[in-house]
Amino acid sequence: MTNTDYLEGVLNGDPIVLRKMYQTMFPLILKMVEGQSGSEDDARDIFQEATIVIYSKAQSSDFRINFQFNTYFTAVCRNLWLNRRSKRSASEVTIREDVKLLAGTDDLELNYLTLERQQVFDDAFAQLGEDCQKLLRLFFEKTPMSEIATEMGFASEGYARRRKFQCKDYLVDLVKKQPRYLELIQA
Amino acid sequence: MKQSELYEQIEAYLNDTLSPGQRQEWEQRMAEDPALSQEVALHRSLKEDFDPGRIALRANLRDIMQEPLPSNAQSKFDKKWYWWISLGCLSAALILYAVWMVWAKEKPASPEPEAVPIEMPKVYPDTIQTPKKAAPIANADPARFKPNPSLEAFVNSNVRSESIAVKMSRPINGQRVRTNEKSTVQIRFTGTILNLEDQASRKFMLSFFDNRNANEPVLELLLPAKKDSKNDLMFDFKPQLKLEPGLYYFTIEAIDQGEILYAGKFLVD
Repeated sequence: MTNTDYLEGVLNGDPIVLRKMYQTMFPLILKMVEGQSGSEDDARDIFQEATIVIYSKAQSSDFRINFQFNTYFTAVCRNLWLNRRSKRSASEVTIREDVKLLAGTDDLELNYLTLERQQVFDDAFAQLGEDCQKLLRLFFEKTPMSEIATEMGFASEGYARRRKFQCKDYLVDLVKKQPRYLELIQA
Repeated sequence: MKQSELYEQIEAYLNDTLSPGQRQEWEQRMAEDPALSQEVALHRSLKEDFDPGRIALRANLRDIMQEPLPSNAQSKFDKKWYWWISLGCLSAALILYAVWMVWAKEKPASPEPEAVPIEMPKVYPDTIQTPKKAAPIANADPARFKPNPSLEAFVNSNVRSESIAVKMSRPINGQRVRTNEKSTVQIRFTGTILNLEDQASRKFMLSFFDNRNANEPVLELLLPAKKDSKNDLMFDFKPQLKLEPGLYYFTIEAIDQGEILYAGKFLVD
């Protein structure tokens, strides 16, 4: 599988590519994390976040990986793990300065707060019911309210508006329950 | 104002559909009301960060990562046998060590003619402590991993004396070493000092520097070495050091001339 295959697979959420990554790379990440006082849950989080990092980077058409995909992915995981580990020490340091040294790459500067904020939002969104998810998806994609009403089978545009408010309010509440939400939205 | 009306106004502001006057009034309110400003920031983040592709990717990953790994059973098997094999090796090593001890006691002591009379430290403890107390790994300071330009210059210039050369096998430049449970690291220094000619009795110092001070080593050790058949000096030295996580440099220096023969670096984590 080439680097392009991996990048396109991640970008399209291709289960075949994701499964291959999980089967071949997750054991290595697990070994690395467990070898440094981490847990299997940590390794799972790191693996998932690294895939999201690749997804975000792959959206840029000029993004290229100058290494084997496995090497790059492992370096991203390592950086995410070191960052998480340093946060656990209750200090405010990030490891951004030594990222290049550890990974040997120049393009691994990660915005950890953005990653964390996206994860909070995505997790909150995943807790909504299917109808709310669909409605908000249409809303965030700037679909006109009249079309949303038709698409969702609502009787009127006014009702669609009220439902949109209820769903968004629920989403906002879920996000606000996160202790670090203020810090995250201001990052 | 009803919550739903507030949301409508925030959305209008973020979608830039307010008139200039309304916008100015809204911004004035935000400036005076931090809670309102935070609410707007949250809605802005929700709007900007929303990515259905990413949300679907997370859901896919969650499902796939619940599947068992094909190598799970194998790795458990390996793990189980790993311990048995390790135990076996340890037992064998202990028996060999005991046999060697008995043999060494019975054998009459004889001087080793090839050994170069290099002075070893009088007391060589198992663990050599740096003056500073080691911090737990979790407290590792990223500044401690920053390369030091002065020392990097030595490492990258492939320093060597005009006559004597050092052929270093270990550690590999930039090698990472991990602290053990006792917060110490064991680093193996192996190599050969070449072209000594008739100067084989010279002494060499192994000096360690952290990444902050290129002028003062944190530790200096006499490098034990033995002459080989070609009259070169071989060393295989495994000091156990108590070092904080960070980037370290080391030099091998000819003591009598203050001449740096080799410079390298390693990372402790």
